[in-house]
Formats: sequence, structure tokens, C-alpha cells
Amino acid sequence: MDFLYRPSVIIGYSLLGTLIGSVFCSIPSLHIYNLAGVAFVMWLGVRSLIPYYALAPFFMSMVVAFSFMNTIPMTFLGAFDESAGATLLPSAAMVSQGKGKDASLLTGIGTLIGALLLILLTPFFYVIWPYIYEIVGAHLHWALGVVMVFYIMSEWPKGAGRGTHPWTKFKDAWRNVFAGLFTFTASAMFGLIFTTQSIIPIEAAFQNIMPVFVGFFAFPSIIQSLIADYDVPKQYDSKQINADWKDFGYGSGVGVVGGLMAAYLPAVTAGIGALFAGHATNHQALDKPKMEDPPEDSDLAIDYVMPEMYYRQERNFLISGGVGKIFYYVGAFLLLFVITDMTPGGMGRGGLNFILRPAFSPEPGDYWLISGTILFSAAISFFMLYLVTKLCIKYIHNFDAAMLHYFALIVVTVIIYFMTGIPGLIITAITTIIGMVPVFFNCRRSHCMAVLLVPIALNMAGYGDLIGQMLGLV
Amino acid sequence: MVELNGEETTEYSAHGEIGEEDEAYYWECPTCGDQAEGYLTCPTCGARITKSISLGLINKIAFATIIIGLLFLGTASFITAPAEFEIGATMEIHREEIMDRVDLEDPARVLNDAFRRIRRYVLYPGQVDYQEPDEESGDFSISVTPARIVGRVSEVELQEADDHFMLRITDGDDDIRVRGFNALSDFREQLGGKFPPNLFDRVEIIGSLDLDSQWGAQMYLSLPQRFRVIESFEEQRREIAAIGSADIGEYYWVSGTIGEISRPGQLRVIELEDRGVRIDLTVPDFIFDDLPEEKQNLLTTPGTTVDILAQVGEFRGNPQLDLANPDDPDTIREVQ
Repeated sequence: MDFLYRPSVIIGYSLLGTLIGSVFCSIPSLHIYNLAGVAFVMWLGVRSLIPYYALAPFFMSMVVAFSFMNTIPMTFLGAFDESAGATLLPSAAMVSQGKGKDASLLTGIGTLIGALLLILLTPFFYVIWPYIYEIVGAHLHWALGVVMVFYIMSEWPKGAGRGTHPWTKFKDAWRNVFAGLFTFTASAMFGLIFTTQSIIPIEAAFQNIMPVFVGFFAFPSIIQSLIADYDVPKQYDSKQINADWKDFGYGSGVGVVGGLMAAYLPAVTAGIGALFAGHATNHQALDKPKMEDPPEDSDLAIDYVMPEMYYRQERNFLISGGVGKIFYYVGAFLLLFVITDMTPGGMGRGGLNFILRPAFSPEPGDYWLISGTILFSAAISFFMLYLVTKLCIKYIHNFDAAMLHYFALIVVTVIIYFMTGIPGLIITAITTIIGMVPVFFNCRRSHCMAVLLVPIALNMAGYGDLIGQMLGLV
Repeated sequence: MVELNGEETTEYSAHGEIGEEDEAYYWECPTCGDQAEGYLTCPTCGARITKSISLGLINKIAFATIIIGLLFLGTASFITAPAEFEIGATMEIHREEIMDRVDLEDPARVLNDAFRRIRRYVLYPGQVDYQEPDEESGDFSISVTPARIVGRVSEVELQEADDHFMLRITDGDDDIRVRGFNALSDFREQLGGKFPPNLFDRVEIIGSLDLDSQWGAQMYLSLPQRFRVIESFEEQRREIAAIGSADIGEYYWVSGTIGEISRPGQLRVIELEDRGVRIDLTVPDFIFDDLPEEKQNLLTTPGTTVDILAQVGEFRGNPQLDLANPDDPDTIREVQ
């Protein structure tokens, strides 16, 4: 029975990772990379905690669980991370209409479909992706530049321009644009300073970006939720998924494109990827509202069909967001295991890749191990999501979310202190101030990603040192 | 098909085909539970009444995915386990398939035969890789990653300046070199006092096994997590009569009286006797010549009783002894 030992251990740790990820990632603002960082430090201290061969399945299953379970805080508790742009608006709107279960499960099914697609795309990853990786690799600096230009341009004036004076009209219409520009610039400046003169201790280098993200995304979400004091309305316990297979087909296509972009381009998150993919493929939205087999006699009750366009977009947005999320978090790590002659070190990107790099390197055959982990963990995570969603719709309207947010605030602060000390807390305080700008002025939160986009693009173009010199940083 | 106001329609309610129930025009929205009357899209929540997917179906798909994932993960865990190699078998493959043939035959054919033989040890084909014969020199190599060996450490060589290390791992008869390039400081940092291992510790090593037509059979170790001391060496004494085939590869202090000495080729076979039981101690000339003169005399004087630290090996099915650490004179002592 010795031959069963290794499979049993790996399955056991995959299950454990899924359960840990599911439980902890249901806490608002607790990002998987915070959790993975703590778990990794614990493992470095006591290596016998997890056998080396079960390390990747354990961490991968945690990330898979997170891809599913972060739907809960994002949908019901208003705690948004850097991938929130992919699913945020429709899910918030649906929760306000009592359709939180639909919102959560549409995203969850999208994520489950994304997990299956990740495995089905294996030939693509081995045969075509290495070429894309190599060819585009030389052009990443200007590709990131284009990403930034598009992103800033997409912050169009959202206000109605109402007011009694030209100045108030102007302010109403344009304040989000200027807030976006300010957030982008401040984040970029902070990023340039941070990447050249980091005050995080060197021993915590693998977690140095954590306090930055917590400040930009987690703390503003918590503060926003506490200030807003929003009571979630009673939710319906729907008996169906309000979508058909066509919606899943369309949403999956968009999600795959956006997710692959996010998995490949450095500092481009699922939110940014979804924005691009949505713009690139958003042809269905141009359709006129369709009737469901409109009868000829317009007096019939059945003839009255409400415009479907808005709801269809809502559904597609959630499904594609779910697919994009798993491609971004899980796909980016899965690509680490795609070892080919062109890419002997894999093609991994993303936070988990960065965290595990000091102690882990992929070997031939690991890809199949990780693929199995993804399938197994994804299905269990879906059931966990289903279960927690049911609990949420039953109790959320009576639940004091503020308590959970205070708890999250304390937990995340302790993690930052534990991992990065006082310097990390200082960095979190600074980035929280910048991260609050989008909250109060309604611009895109993902502008904060300029903290990485700008330094990475400049360094890839070979101008990082020059700009640093100009700013007196080096 | 049902008739609505004289027209035939195929519309369905959430509860089935319209017209099957008495309340054909008045159905409940399955999402929000409100009366959707005859609408196909709920006027309250905007959910569609038709063309939805039941949660039961989704749950069945998810359940099937768990089963498939479990089978997939279990199978992948099994077949991608590090290929187990016995040191002796590895060296035998290298000797028979490469060393004995490489100068005589077409390198491509030698590579092919060696590849096929090594492939038998590996369940997942992707773990075996090879480098085609060089056009000029004909050199080639086959590597297996990850490969696992277990044995005792018989030599430790540290190159501090280059940050390299070399461990020689033995199974009693054969040994294999395990190298770590630019890895010494990393291993020390991550493994603390467990690296470098002590001589004769039993260790497990998972790394890349390389059979190279030029450099021989070696293993490369890059990750400290893949090195483990299974059993620290503790000095034990064993009587010659108690030594059996189960002890092959083990190290013991053994006492015996020098008997006959023969020289079959470039080695000395020294007979040791204790309480009427004999065992051979083999000392190759290159080792014997490096011994201090005092120890050489000790080993070649019949009737002398010696105490030696020896490793149990095997020759033609019978246990024999080898000097465990000839570099340390204290491991060869005269018993007064």
C-alpha cells in the first residue's frame, strides 16, 4: 500500500488548502497573498508541516479556493480587492435587488467553467503560449504603456454636469477624471519611490508588496464599508441560475481573453484585463433588445417582454469576471509549470509565484499534479461557495457586517506587522490615503495599480534608473 | 404545444409547459418568488422566467468534477513521483549501456538503447530528457528529473570559494556523486546544522540524475528541500559472525585477526577471522598506498588483531568488508 501514500498526502493537503483558503478568504479584505505569505513563513520555520512535494498543491488549492470564495465578501460585504473591477458593479446592483445568490453563483459557475477551461487549454499552453510569451516578451514595456494610456482614457467624465455655475457643472462632470489622474500619478510616484528605496526589511522582501496592496485596496474597502453603514436587503433564495448556456459561452470567451491578459502582463490584474476584454469583445451589447419568440398578437400578456440587454450584460459581466479571476490568480501560477524547451523555467507570473520562488522550482510532471489539484479544489470550492452563499442569503440582512470589518482590520494589521514590521505599517498608512481617493471621488480603483505598472514599464524600457536619477532616488 | 387565445405557443413556465396547469398565465419568478404573471422576464427583479439552468444540474456537474479531479490528482501524484533508482542499478546501466559501448558504436544508437533502458524506471515519460550526440565529439547525456536515491554519505567535498559541494553516496558496492553548483550557502542557510551531512549518514536525495557519456553518472541537487538525512550515523560494533547480506551498505566497527593475504589484480584481499568465522577485507592499491606506513604494516601482518571501521559490501553473493574512511587513521587500530 506504499504506492498510495504519496497520492493520499497530496490529496489531503489539497483538501486542507481548499478548506483553509475557503474559510479565511471569506473574511473581507483578507487577500490570498497575505494568507499564503503567512503560511509560507510558517513552512520555512517548520518544514515538516508540509512535505515538499505537497507544497505546490497546497498553495495552489488555497488560491483556487480564494478565486471562488472572494466572491462572498465582494458580493455581500462590499470588500473589494484589485480584481474587483471584473465583477464589482453588477454584483453590488444585484445584491441591492435581492439577487445576491444569483450574483454569487453566476460568478462561481464562471469560475468553475474557468477552471475546466484552464485544463482544456493545456495544448494551447504548451504549443502556442510559449511563442506568445517569447515574442511579446520583448515588447512588454510599450504594451504596458498602451495599457496605461487606455486605462487613463477610459476614465471618462461620469457626472451629469449639473449645477448653477460653470464651475460646479465642470466639477460635477469631471471630478472623477481628475481624481483618477491624481490616483494614477500619486500611485506611480509612490511606486517609483518604493521600488528604488524600499523601507521594508530585506528578510521580508518576498512580501514587500503586501502592505502596498492592503493600503490601496483592502483598507479603503473596509473604511468605505464602515462609513457607508449599508444594510444589505433581504435576499431571494432563487431556485435557478438566471442564465442559459449561451450566456456562459459568451462570458467565458471574454473571461478567457481578459484572464490570459492579466495572467501574462505584469501588474495587469483581472479587473484591468476584464476591462480590455469587455471592450474588445463587447459586440453583444450593441444588439437591440430581443423578444422571446414574440407572438403576433400584441394584446397577449406573454407578449410583454422586458428589455433583456441590461440583464444580459450583467450576467455576462459576472460570468466573464469569474472566468477571468481564475485565469488571473490560478492560471498565472499554473503557467509556472509549463516547462518547454523554450521556457525551461516555466512562464509563471503573479503573487504566488513571487512568494514561493525562494524555495520552490517546478519539475517535469508537476503540471499534471497541479491540473488535478485545480479540478479537485475548484469543485470543492464551488460547493463551499454554494454553501456560504446560502448562509449569506439567509442571514446577511440580520448580520452586523461592521463587526466582521473591524475583525478584518485587526487581522490584516497584525499580518502586516508580523510580516513587515513598523515600516510595513507606515507604507500601508500612506497607500491607504491614496487608495481612499477613488472611494470618495468615484474613479477606478485600479488606477492604484500604477504603483507597479509605471516602474515595471520604465524598467523594462531601460529608463528606470534614469527616471530614478531625475527624481533623486538613485 | 398549448393554445393561448387561439394561438399555438411553445412557451414554458418555470413549472413546466404552459397550459399543463390551470394557472397557465400566472407563474412565480423562480429567482425572487414574486408573481411574474404572464411575463417572461420578472417585472420585480428582472430575472428571466425561462431559459434558466437548474442549480441541481450545476451541482451535478460540480460533483462530477470532484470525482474526475480526485482521480486525476491521484493518478498524477502516483505517476509523477520521483523515479526510484538504486545506486548499483544506475551505475550498471551507465556501465553496460554507455561506458562499454560509447567508443565502439554509433553514439545515436548507444543513446537510444540507454534511453530505452532508463525509461523503464520512469512512469511519466516527461521526466526523462536527453541531449542529442554532439556532432564532433559524439557526447550525449540522458537526464531523469526528479530521481530519488538513498544511500550513505561516503565523502563530502566542499568548495567554499565557488559555493559548490560534492557528496559521494554509496550503497555498499557502488557510489554516485551528487553535486550542487552555486548552492552550498543556500543549503547551509536553509538546512542549518543538517548540512553538510556527517560521513556515513543515511540520506535521501531527490534531484536530477544525469548519465553523461563524458562525465559519467552523477546527480545534481539544487533544492535544499530535496535533501534529507534519514538516519544519522551512530557507531556500532558487529561481530564477523553476525554480518549478513542484510548489512550490505552499513558501517560497523569490526574486530578480527589478520589471516591470509592475497593480491588478485590491483587490490589486496585480507582475511579477517574472529571466533572461527572469516570475512574478506578488500583494499584497492590506490587506497593502500595512501595509508600511513604504520597502518600498512598493521594490515599486512598476519596474526595481528585489528579493529577497523568498515563498510559491508558484497562479492558473488557473500558479504565482504571495505575500509570505511581510510583518510582517518583512527579508523584502523591495533587491538592490544
